[in-house]
Order: sequence, then structure tokens, then C-alpha cells
Amino acid sequence: MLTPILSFLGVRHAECIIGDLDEERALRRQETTCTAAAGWYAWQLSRLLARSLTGRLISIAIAVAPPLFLLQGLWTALFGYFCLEPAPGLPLVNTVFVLAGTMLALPSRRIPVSAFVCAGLVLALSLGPATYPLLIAGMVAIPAGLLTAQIQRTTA
Amino acid sequence: MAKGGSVGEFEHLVLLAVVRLRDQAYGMKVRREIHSCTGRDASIGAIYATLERLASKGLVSSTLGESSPERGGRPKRTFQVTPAGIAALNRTQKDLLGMLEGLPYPLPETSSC
Repeated sequence: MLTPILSFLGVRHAECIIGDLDEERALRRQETTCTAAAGWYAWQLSRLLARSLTGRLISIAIAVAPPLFLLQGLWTALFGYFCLEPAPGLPLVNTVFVLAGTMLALPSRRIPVSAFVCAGLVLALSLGPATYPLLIAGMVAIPAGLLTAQIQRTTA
Repeated sequence: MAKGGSVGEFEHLVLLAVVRLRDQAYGMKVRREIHSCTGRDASIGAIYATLERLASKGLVSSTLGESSPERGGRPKRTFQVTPAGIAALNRTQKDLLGMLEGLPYPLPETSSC
């Protein structure tokens, strides 16, 4: 159960790591108590999860933030040049495109997909029903992006 | 290859632990060895991340071993220091010994340059 979760989070050698933890837990049971050994196991596991999640989230933030700022700056400049009011759904559109791009660019697409869905839902809820068509259009980008990536991998 | 042929502080500890453990150097043993020698309680994630970084620098290599019942039937990955790893260790040791020469141990906490 733990091995697939760790592998999903991008932890390499997950099976060996869990084996090491199991072996040390068995040793600690002999040296201390079952409760202390279980506590140590849970502590090590939580540190491992935190380490893998933090690394993944930092890489996503680094991949997402610069293009998002660039897109926002571009639209602001364009709208300002033509003396137009910025559209309310623009941040959502930008987020959708940037996260779709991140999904294609990052080696593992599972976490960006989750981030994409969460960001889309939060933005849709905060901006109101007017943005729902945009959200639906954006959600189409997920399978389209994954399909493109799959084709790229197959033809590479 | 490591920058300037040297290794970082924690990488140095992990490499030395792998050398000390010879053919028994796998994650849990490396963690225990560092703990028994230095008192430092490193996490298993930090040990594997460092070993992986050392492997990408070509300083250690690894082989997948057999599984055992106390490991829940899971295999162990055993690490060995490569000749490049030994050379990097020797360079780091030489640098450290050179810098420590003539200094008292332990250093007085109020010392200034």
C-alpha cells in the first residue's frame, strides 16, 4: 500500500526504503517497545512524505510562477495599450494555459494535474458562474495535453 | 563529478558510512552507522536522497539484493563506493586535515581570526 503511494509521489527506490523501515522497526521492537517502534516508523514516514511533497511542490511553483507572471504582464500591457478593461476571467485562462504547459513540461504529470484541477475549481468558485464555460474549456485541455504528451512519448 | 572533486558535509558522512559498512551498506545500515558514530539522527529519506545524488556524481554504485521476511519480502539496495568516490573522499580528507593542522581540538568557542 505504501510503496505505490511513495512511487506516485516520485520517491525512487520506494520498495527498498519501505523494506529498510520495516527492518529497522523490527529491530526497534526488540530494543524498545512496540509503541515506540510504531511511533518512530510513523515519524520517518511523515518526514519522507513531507520531503517528497515539498520537493515536488517547489518544482511546480518554479515551473508555474514565471510564465504566469509573464502572461499577466503581457495581457495587462496589451489591454492598457488598447485602453480596454481586463476581462474578469483572464487569471483563470492564464492559469489554465500555464498549468497545461507545466503538465507537458514536467517529467511527472500527476501532481500538476491535481494542482490544475484545484486551481481551476478555486478560481471558478471565486469568480462566479460566468467563468464556468471557461473552466469547462480549460478542463478539456487536460486530456488533450495528456494525449499530446502520450503521442510525444510514443513517437520519440 | 563532484565540484572540485570534493563532497559536501553530509555526503562525506554517507560516503564514509558506506566505506565502513563494506558489503552491508544499505539505507537502514547507513542511517544506523551515522547515528552510532556521530549521534546524528538522519531520516531515511535524507540518506536515500544523498545516496542517489552520490550515484549521479558517479561516487557510489548500487546493486539490488535479495528480500527477507523481516523486510516484508522487499529487496535491499546495497551501495558500494566507486574508485571516483574513494578519490573524492581522499581529496576531502586531505583538505580537512590540511585545514585542521596546527589548530587545537576542540576549538575554543571564543576564537577569532
